[in-house]
Amino acid sequence: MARKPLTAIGLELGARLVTLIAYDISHRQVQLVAMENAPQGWRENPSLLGEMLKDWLGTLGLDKKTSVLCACVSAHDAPLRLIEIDPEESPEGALRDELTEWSGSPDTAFFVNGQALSKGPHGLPAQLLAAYPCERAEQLRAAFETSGFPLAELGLDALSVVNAFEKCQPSWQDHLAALVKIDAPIAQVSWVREGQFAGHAVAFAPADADPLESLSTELLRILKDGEGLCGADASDCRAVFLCGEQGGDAGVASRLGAQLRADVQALDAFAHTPFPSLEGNTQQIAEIAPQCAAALGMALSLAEGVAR
Amino acid sequence: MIRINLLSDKFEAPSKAALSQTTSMPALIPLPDEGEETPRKSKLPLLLALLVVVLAGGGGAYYYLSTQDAGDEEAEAPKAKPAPKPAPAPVADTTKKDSTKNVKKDTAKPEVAVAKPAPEAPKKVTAPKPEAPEFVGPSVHAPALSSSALAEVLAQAKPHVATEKPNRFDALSPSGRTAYQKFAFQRILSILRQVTPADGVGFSTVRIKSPGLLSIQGVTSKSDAFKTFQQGLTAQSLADLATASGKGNSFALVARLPFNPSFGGSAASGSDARKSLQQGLDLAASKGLTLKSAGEHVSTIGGAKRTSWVLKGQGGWDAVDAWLTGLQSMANPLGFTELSIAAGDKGKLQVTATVVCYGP
Repeated sequence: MARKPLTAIGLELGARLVTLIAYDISHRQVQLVAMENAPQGWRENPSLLGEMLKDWLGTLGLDKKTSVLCACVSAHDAPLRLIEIDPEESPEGALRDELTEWSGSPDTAFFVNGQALSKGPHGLPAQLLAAYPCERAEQLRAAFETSGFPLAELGLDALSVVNAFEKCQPSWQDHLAALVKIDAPIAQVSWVREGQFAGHAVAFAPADADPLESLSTELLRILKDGEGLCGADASDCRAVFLCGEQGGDAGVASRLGAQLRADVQALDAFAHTPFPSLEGNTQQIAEIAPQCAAALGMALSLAEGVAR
Repeated sequence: MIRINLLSDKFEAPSKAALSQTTSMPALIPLPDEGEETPRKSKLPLLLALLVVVLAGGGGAYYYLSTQDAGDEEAEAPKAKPAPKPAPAPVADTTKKDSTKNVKKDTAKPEVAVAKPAPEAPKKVTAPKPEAPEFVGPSVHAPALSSSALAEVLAQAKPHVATEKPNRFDALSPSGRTAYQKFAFQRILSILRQVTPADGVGFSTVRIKSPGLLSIQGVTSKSDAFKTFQQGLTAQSLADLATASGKGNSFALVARLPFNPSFGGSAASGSDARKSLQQGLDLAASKGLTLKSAGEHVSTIGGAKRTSWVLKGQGGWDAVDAWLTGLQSMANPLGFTELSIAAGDKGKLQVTATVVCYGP
């Protein structure tokens, strides 16, 4: 009889940094947080990750037998849409049609996933559509096989931060909030309404400009206009939570806070998740918490699935 | 919780055939060189197979044509040459019938009437060496490969030799050195903050030198705390630990961070040195570390321009740590040769950093 894994390992595969969270499933607490520089150009060639992961995961002393591992990648170039579906139409057909229209490629080029959400802006049942190119998914799977830790699940960071937000900010679940993940020169906005994913938008900084300043300007536009938001008005947004590599940057928070009515703050991903090994080091936790949101969200969702 | 697994298709796993088709399909938003990288690998077997087919075809065609050309010469000879070689030598009488047959056959053709060398042949005692019969074949030639095709195929067929990681700091490229310096300085500072006891050990000066030397001068009020501090440094892989005690519980400590070949730092280069410095200063300011350039020195090492600056300012431990981390994550080309942190006014730290940048 197969033994249930004891540790859920969540990884965020960022452009420059790989963030790891080891989450104790039975005790529901964070065991370990680690970060490592990612090999340059791994997004174009995911196989570059294999050797790096092998070395790194080996040195961290993680137990292969009692751990299950998942990872998330950036959603900035992946189809992530919230669509309404006619009750008479099959969700699969609708998702595939939407994907083909969105990407211009045959839907066979992607692994397609969907999840039913509450009703959309027009009162019809809504589906969350997420897809990822098969080729790159297979390359990632192979890279993790090289490391000795097979990849159990692959997710998108914009959705993972929503999971982390659900856990760490329960008091904001009744409101409209924007989760801004900043990984310069890219920033992503995940809208959350009444605890549910409500849309996604992406901002890019031009190459010849200060990335954080440019992203602040672009984010202001997205947050004011409600770009990507479905079924709600951006003016109802009560809070903006910053996370990602530059999520703790005071400059971005002050720029956004000065221009928005919403409360702007860094996302404290460990707010309701015990972290015994860093207990008492509130300052240290506060510094790394925004960066760890996506990895923690992956670990939490995997742990929930394993515990079921 | 949103739980979506993109390692497989929720509705229907695409067949292997469908999967293989995807290798040539473009990504949604193509990243730089993405279109070149992945299909090249998938095309390699195809190109090799094509090469084998072309070579086999070429070889076959060459053999066929070489045999055909020989026959071609013989068969065309009566038309082209007035005196064709006597085919199978008509030496003996037994061959006469055959030769007459040949002559009869040949006489059907008008050209053969001109060529009658046969009568001389019987006079020779030694028969001429029989030559292989040659046939006429269509002049088919395999299409020539482009000059670069073979080189490209061979280049791709060449096994990719894994580039060995330098195992010494000196073996790194200039940009690799600056990347390692940032990694090492940040790592040392992080370890130092992690293992320093809350009470019992105080520092007056902390110096980190490239590539990974740490020297500390301070005062300890509790011997246990200092021992714990030393053990912590050793446990965190700071090697060659040496300490010396002075007057009034003062101490000096030196340790070294061993070179880590797989430090994973990404070498950044190419941008303007002054622009990189300004970016580094802006980043420091955003982290609460006020730094100003106190001097610039430009030199040329191995053909590369090397600019170094001495930066001085004030800030806290967190600010210095955040600055180093930020420089790493931004892939800023600045590196460090020395970082000195000393006690300053009003509880703030006096920070002096010597930073370097290779490039224009």
